[in-house]
Amino acid sequence: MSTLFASYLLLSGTMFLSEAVASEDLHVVDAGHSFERRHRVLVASSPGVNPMVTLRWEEALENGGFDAWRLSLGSNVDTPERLFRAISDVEKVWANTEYSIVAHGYIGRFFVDANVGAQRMVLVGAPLGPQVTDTRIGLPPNAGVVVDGLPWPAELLGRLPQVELPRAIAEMYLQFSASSVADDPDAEVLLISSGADVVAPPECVRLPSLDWTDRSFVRVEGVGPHSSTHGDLLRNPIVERQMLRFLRKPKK
Amino acid sequence: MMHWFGILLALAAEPKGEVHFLTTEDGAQVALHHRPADGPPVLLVHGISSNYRCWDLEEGRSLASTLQRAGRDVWLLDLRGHGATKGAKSPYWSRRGWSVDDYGRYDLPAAIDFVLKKTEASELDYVGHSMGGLVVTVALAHRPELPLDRMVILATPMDFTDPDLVSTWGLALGRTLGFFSSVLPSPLAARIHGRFRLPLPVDEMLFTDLSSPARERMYDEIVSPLFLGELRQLWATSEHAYFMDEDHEQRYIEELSSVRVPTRVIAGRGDRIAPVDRVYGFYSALHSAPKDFVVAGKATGFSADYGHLDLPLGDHAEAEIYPLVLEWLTMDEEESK
Repeated sequence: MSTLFASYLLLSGTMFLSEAVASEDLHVVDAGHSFERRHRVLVASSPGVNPMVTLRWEEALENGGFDAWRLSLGSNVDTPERLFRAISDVEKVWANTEYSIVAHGYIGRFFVDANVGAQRMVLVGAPLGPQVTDTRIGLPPNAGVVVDGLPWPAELLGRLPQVELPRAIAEMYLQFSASSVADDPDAEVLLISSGADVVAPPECVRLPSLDWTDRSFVRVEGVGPHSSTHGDLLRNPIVERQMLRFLRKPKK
Repeated sequence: MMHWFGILLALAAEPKGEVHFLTTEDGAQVALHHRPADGPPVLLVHGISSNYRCWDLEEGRSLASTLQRAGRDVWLLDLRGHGATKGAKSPYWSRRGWSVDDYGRYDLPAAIDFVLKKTEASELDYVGHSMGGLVVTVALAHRPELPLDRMVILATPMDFTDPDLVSTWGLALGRTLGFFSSVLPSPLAARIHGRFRLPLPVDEMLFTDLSSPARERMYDEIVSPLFLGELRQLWATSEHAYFMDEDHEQRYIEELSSVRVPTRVIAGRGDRIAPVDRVYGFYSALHSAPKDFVVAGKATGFSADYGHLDLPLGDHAEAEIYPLVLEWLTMDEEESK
């Protein structure tokens, strides 16, 4: 549906693919129509996942009254440090502009750690603390400088198109799962998690953020009849509804 | 008359072993089903709206048999109003108010005292499923010297912060319905659902790995009434964020910090009633005890993402969960540190 929507807009010539370049490592691409007066929302997926997976969210945001932009990383972003720097460059692109972030997976954790100046953040399936027991996360023993996708067995992630990613970033993902806990960011945050998501189950999302000053938590299973894997979260209508409701809330 | 009829039914349905009926300090009745062996005693306590058959449904789905075969002297408790004690006489208002506090303050101590007397042991092991973990928490809060050697707790939620629809609306609905009756007719509803698969997400809530005909058998034989008192106490968890006593004055999670019984806590990755993060609250509250936390799910090497009832009864429980229970109960103090 999302792909159809994008194809239709491209073919009918109504979609503007305007692009703002902050640095050689960060591009933000205006998805769908360009809306000058609407609140900007930057949509991001994680390195290792096909960036087109967020098309459905972009469509929902545009239809929901927001101006959706897609984050795109340069091909040289091959270390966690460079990824942090690239993410922080969002400030340069949208200096003096109010914006929010919607992120899926590990990149949400990078946004929290970088503490970018977004007004609101919606983090879907973003791990904020370590796994509470040993899991099957890991890199293949013969992994080179580039690995095939997220360091999880593909069958545990659900329908999630993956792409290659630098090994150093995959190792950062392992570190997120092993030990580190995210700090409370300045932005108001909505955390969405599913018990069936091995990357960021509620114990890795809800528990590490219990003391955050301005955060809401939604458990996908607590709202609907079905659970969602990491990949399913991108297609779960509950996620879209909760995201829009949160972004539309009046300012405090 | 109903009482004796209940006892006869229980005896007729008893798969093997003997059953003892005890009267608690406050006058209620509980039942202990015994699977004798020469080893140390272990007491198994069921969850809400359940009974002792959750530990002993049929061959291949019987933690009781596994433990007995391993030489453990197995005792399965039916809390008041559950399983074999369903027919016991008790005043309407008393039944209506039965709560987890009653199970922990009266039923469990009575059962433990009886088993220790009968076996002449000085302590016993404890295995609790879901509310069975709350029951032992209440018991330990009131009698910290309770002679427990080791514990395994399956799917017991203890952290109710960030309430969700399952923990608020589900219990609120139960409480509202409960005003019309002393107990909810859950056994009848379960039988109907077991036969006709009503278009309700009940199966998804309860299990992910329980195939037919065990599914139908579970609905027929395990589901017990829900009491307004227990629903009221559990419903308060969403209001207070923690499991409280009936008067909402005591946070039981705080009592766990002084528990010294070596405890293994097992949570099911697919559990919708007691999700991993809520069960982790039980584990993390045990400050003083040697402890261990297991998540039964595909990401941790199990065959399935275990649901709430899969832990005691699921298709893979005999191969994957029962050995974890037995291993912890037979481990010595040093190994479990």
